[in-house]
Amino acid sequence: MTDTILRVMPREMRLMSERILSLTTLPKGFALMVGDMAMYSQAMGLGGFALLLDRMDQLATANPARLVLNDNGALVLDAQGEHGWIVVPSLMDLLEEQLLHGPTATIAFVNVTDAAELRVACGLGQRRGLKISFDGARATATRAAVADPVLDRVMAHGCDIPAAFWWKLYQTAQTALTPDSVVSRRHAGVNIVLDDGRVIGRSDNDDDTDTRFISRPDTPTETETARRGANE
Amino acid sequence: MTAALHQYDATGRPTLRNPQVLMRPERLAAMQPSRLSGTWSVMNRMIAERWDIRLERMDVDAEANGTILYSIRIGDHEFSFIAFSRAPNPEARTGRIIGRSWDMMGTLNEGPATADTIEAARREIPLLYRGRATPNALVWCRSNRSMRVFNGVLDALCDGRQPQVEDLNQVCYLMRNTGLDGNGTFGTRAFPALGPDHPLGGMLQAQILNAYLMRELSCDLVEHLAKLRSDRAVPLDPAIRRYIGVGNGSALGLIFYVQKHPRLLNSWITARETAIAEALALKLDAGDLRISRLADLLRRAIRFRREDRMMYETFASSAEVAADLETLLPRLEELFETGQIDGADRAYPLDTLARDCAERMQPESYECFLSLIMELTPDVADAGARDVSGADELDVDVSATVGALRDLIRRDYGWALEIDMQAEGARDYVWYKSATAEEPRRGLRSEVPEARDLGLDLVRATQKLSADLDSAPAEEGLARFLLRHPEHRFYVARAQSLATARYHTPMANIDAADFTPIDLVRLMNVALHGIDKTRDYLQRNLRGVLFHGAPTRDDLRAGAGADWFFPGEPQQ
Repeated sequence: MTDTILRVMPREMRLMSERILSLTTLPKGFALMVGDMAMYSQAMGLGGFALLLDRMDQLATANPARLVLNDNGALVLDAQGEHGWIVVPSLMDLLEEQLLHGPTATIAFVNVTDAAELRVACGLGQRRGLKISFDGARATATRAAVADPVLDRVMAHGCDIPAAFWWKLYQTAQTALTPDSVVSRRHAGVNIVLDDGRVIGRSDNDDDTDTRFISRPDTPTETETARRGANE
Repeated sequence: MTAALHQYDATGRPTLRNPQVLMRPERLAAMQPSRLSGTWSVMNRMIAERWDIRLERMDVDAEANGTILYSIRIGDHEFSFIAFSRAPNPEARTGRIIGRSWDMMGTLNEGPATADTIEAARREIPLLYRGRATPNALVWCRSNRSMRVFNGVLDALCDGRQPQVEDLNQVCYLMRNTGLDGNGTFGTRAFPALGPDHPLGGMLQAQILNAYLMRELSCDLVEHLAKLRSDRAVPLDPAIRRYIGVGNGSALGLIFYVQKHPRLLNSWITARETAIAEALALKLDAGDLRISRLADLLRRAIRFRREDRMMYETFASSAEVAADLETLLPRLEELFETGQIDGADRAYPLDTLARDCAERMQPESYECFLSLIMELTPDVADAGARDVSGADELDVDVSATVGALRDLIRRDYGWALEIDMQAEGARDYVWYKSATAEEPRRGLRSEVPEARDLGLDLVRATQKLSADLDSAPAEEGLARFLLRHPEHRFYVARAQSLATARYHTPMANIDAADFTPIDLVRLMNVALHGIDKTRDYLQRNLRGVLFHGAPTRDDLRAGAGADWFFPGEPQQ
């Protein structure tokens, strides 16, 4: 089974990125905007989701506010060691800002970890009408038609990802969710089941619910039961 | 507040309603099913285009275990619905996502069902989040029987008689949808890639068709089981069959949906409000047949509400709605006979009535009236329904300055800036999902301190953004501002991307103790999806019925069944 290739769709890739990035200290208002980095990276043949897992330690303490822009006639973005994906949004912003004043924009960058991942900007930039290219530690941009061919491609065909790796990623993402408990089960559903089995709330008009099940968090879910069955 | 709801152009013609009022959760909760709702709009297409849906295989034993196949032809396209029925298991049975006992699981696929796709579906669907759809799958679904109603109907058919409508009225369905997952979930196709010419490319259309197929399956299954169990068995009377819809249970996940798809919400509400404005602006003189058409629709709605047995905990009862609507009939008679309302000529008589409804009726009654007047301008409503869309991607526009963004935030998010986040209860609740089954939950933060908040805390974030904008030079570009304040990037992108939209965000602090989650659940279920006869629980869950009164497959092939909504109880 380990060599099975899964066709993974954008919705799932975005969900994984969002959850995994929520495990980091990145502010939500930033993490929600870099969720597509891993998907574009995967689709563009860069590090992709494997890199996302490999760099979890670094991303866990990433801080986009550490980026510094030096302007001594030429712009130099000092990433202070932050990962390329953390740098891409500001890199695109600053290139686009220059394009407000001229046909071509250039910016140099230093101290970027996994600098090759900055090339994600070539894909993402098209969404903003930017044609971005890289030459060593410099990025150049010109205006182009607004398009999103990378996203169009993954929307249509997804990304091919080895099954074993995908499920490892899935398990990591699951850790961003909250463990099931009797208390947390009271935070959803049509009624509230107390520890002693009593049901609080208006009676259900379609009351086939097994309330014992609701009050026992150790009961395996459908998914777990089916998976176990499939593995046996 | 209602005075500001209706708006007019310079000539006094009714225009779109005021978003500052309309986007309050309690207003959104009152919106009723209409021609813009998923079930209504898809059913109108199904009838007009005569969708050809056929049961191809019912390989199910007397215990209800087996495989069921349908073929669906829409123009030149063929789809298949592959479903697996199981004998009900009372253990661990719940309509919630955490359940592990479902009576039916299935998939709506593009193309005819093949042996391979059937076996792949049989193997993978029970795995849910660990399963993988085949590349041609559009939606995965699952449902449970309403045990009492299903068994009651089965017993009746086995006895050679029709079920009692009184018994059906407990829920008005045999099976209840407990999951319609598509658009990339489990590897299903991404809907944006289907394209505008795809027969199921519009908002929710694949899921809505799947819901209809679940209704048909529930009726076919009960008839099949009756036939297996009794020589005296009879099929459902077509009138009863139409009356039986498919149940639907929904809850907090829809709040996440609303938050993640602001463009789609704006697009749909704009289409709805455009259709309403067009109808409000109708010039209607004495004898205009559209007035009598409206009166007929009102009578149907009144009877439907009077026959509604559901209990409404948070919302107005159907009896109240029926009583409200009843008062409109003599006024419509006056309009039809004299061209006047209350003895006076009115430039826009429906607007006069609507404003009156807004002032003195339950919000649901007022919204029901608005839904019905849309039937007088069906082309506008249908065109709007066809065009509903909205990409999810948001981006920053760095050509704007801090000053321009500050103005935008003040214009569009004044409601958020006014909320006191230090007030008692303002931050009491957290939104999260359970690790076992992804069930969306909302609880006191103090009860689940370990929970990561998955809700979009738009109020607090906007207030922080506003404060930082106030501290920055007005002429500064956003590239520099976001370099210093990367934590605002998403909220800046969201605000800028929605700057020309009017109806994108419910105006609420969803973390507050006084926020009523079911308001937005009801917006989605009732107004967008088109669910009737709802029953609400704990201000967070909603049960109801889809396709209540909808044409059968035979009706569709004949192009029959328009005006199916708001069905009366079959006579027995």
